[in-house]
Amino acid sequence: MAPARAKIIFSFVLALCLLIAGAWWLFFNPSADFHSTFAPEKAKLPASASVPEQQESVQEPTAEILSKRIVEYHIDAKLDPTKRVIQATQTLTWTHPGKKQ
Amino acid sequence: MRTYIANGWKSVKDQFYVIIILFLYQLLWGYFLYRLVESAVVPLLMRYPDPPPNQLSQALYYIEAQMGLSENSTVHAYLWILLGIGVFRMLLTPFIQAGILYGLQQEYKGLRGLFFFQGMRRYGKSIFIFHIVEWILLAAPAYWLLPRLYHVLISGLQSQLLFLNGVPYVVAWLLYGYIVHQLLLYMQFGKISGSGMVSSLWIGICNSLPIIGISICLE
Amino acid sequence: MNELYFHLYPNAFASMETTFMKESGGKLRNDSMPSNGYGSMTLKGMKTENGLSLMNRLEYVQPDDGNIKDKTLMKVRLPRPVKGGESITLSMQYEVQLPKIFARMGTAGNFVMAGQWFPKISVYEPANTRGRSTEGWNLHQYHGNSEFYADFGIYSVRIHVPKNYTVAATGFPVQPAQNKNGEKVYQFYADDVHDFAWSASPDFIVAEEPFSSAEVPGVRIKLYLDPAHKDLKERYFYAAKAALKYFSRWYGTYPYSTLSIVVPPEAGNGAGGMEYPTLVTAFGAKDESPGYDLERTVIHEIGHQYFYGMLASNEFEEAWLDEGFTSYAEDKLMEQEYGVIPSLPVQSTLISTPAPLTQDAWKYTLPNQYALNVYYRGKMVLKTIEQSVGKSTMNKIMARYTGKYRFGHPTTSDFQKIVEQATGKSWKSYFDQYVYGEQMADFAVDQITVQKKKSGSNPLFESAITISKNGGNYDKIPILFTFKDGHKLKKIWDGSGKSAVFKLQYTSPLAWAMVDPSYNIVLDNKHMNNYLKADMDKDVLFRWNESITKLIETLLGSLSW
Repeated sequence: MAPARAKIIFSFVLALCLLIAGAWWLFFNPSADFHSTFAPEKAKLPASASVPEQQESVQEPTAEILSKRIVEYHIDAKLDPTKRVIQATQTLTWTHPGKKQ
Repeated sequence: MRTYIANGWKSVKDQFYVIIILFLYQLLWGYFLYRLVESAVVPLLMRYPDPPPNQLSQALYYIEAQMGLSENSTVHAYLWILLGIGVFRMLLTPFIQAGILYGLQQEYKGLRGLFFFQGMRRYGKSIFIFHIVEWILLAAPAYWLLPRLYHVLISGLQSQLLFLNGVPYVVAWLLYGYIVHQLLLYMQFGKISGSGMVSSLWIGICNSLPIIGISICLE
Repeated sequence: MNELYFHLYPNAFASMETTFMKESGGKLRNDSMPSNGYGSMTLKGMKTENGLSLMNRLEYVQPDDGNIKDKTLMKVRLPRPVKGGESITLSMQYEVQLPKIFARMGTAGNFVMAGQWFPKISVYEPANTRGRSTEGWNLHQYHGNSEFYADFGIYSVRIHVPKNYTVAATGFPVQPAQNKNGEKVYQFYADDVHDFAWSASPDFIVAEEPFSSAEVPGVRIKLYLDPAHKDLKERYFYAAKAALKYFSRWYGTYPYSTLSIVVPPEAGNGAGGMEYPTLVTAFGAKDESPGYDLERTVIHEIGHQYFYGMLASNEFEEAWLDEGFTSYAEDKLMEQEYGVIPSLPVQSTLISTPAPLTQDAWKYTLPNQYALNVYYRGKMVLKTIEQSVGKSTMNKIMARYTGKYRFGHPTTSDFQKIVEQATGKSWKSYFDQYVYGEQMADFAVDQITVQKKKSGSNPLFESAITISKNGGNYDKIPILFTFKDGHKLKKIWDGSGKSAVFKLQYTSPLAWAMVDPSYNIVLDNKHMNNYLKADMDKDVLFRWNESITKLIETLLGSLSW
């Protein structure tokens, strides 16, 4: 009885010690690798400017008319990526470019 | 053993007429084939650019040759002719075989003369059936072998060494063909001599080692 | 006009029975349809301005092949006809089930390529457009080998995507993307274009650079990169800038304010290498350092902004007007900017089944025959014209053609007339053979005979060489004769008649003769017969013949007598 329980308690305490030691080692180990896995963004961003910011240049339509505009579409579309579906409504104005009735 | 071989050579002397006929037969085919090959190969060689006037010339030659194999109708015509020759000769073979075997049989009986054409007439059809059986047996392994050999061919195009993977299959097939041929030959002996196919087959199997030895010596 | 026609292109992917799938076998170039990759377009509603529903006035039509399972072309019978010059406004609701990408549109993982994604009204060609005498609709189904055709106009498109997605589209946004209700909403506008495409992904790495040059007032080049190619920004920008600069100089100012380049992920490669007005797709990002195909694709698709985008030719019926012309422009710029010269002799050898260039796209039998003809044979036809008239006249021809038909629908005979006007002569024979017809060129050395005329210390040999024309006509055919003593002689044949015999007298017999030794005749697709030896060592010939005969004999001998 007593030796068995002692064994259990002893194993428990040993495991706890190992856990604490491991955590201590992990968190406070001066090795650079571990630090970088926990703070990657801070280390990398200043060094490289390769993460571009999403630039959105906004423009206005010009008044110049270059083509014979036969069609005018106004479309409102919604993408559902999980179903891979686009639901949309559109208004189309078509100008008859010929002469026939 | 030695007497058998000696008797064999004596037969050759006695069957001299058959030998002459076969010699002429082979000669005519050889000549025809040579002329056919010449008509195809010489123009190709005359068109091969060496020394190449342009650095692309030889590369273009090979590209066009490869495309020609799959697309050119003249190339296809040649291949069909070769196939035709092969098939025609294969169809004639049983009759020639019948003639030879009958001649040997008659010689054994002590008769002398040219029994070649008589043999063709008498036993041609039955030997033809033997050959059909032989061809079917020979072609049978193709069902399993051809897909495997195809894979070897494709992989061999990347690295020539891989072609060696196909060698055991080919050798096994050739060996199988040899065995089938010999066994059926003995059955043909039996058929023509009238002593029964099965007993001749049995003789062939029992004496297979000396038979193989003689084949190797003659080759 | 009391009927309208709409292209519902996504229906090409609805089943294996559609015309597109039957003709292509579910494959485009090297990409095959992924499993469960079907797509479709379902029209949920269509109304006139007065609210009258047209849903029971719809009918799918198949003018090309009568395949009733193909729903890529739809006819709408109008309640009231539209008179010439009048407009009609319809409103539609529809749902597009995006296919899995293998043929230009659909989804690949997170990546979405929305091309030909809305019901597009067909082209109504007025009289005298593309040489037609009466006006009418130009109606075609979507085929395995075809592309598209549409009229110019205005697009105002609002796109709702999940908030972590970035959208690239034709034209430009008129306001910054709005975040509302957990989604991101873009508002795009484009005018003087005949199509509107967009692409969306949460993974895009976006970069933008302005560009202007003497011929380009100001363009914003927007790059939407797949992360695999994030370090190749500069290559894409450089290629795009070179294309904009030189194509604007050669073929007219690029008039739009944006050019968007989308780089799909590797799985979306089927959407790559495609052109839409002001939006192009490069090929799918795979290698970290791809070869010149990267630049070549970008340049090719920007070339299409001219030959397809502004010169809106009919890609169903005359695909070479956009593919052949763009390939010609691409080769020209690749050579100038990167020193890459295409191997035209090898490319012409591949064209073993030439076909007319002015042929419906689906009439080309195999996908290879389509590509080899409209891309390669098309550009070789142009290259040959360039060789014939000289580079500066060719530049004039191209400038006039692109200037005159900008924002129009040109046809092959329009281009032919420009060539004829610029050169002051008829090009009927050339176009009849090589463009409307299926000719390639084929000049060959047929025969060489050598005769000894005089022997002794001053020998004289007469070598007779027969050159024949087995294909189409050509102006000047160069021939090179080489004699056994090393002496070379060049002559030019004018190509008149089916053949010519050259008799050369010289102190040494001829060793070999070659037609077109530098492979300048771009349309000659058989090069083996350009070269012939006068004779060969008899022993060498005998050995070759004998060995091959013996080989065949051994094979036959193993099976037969």
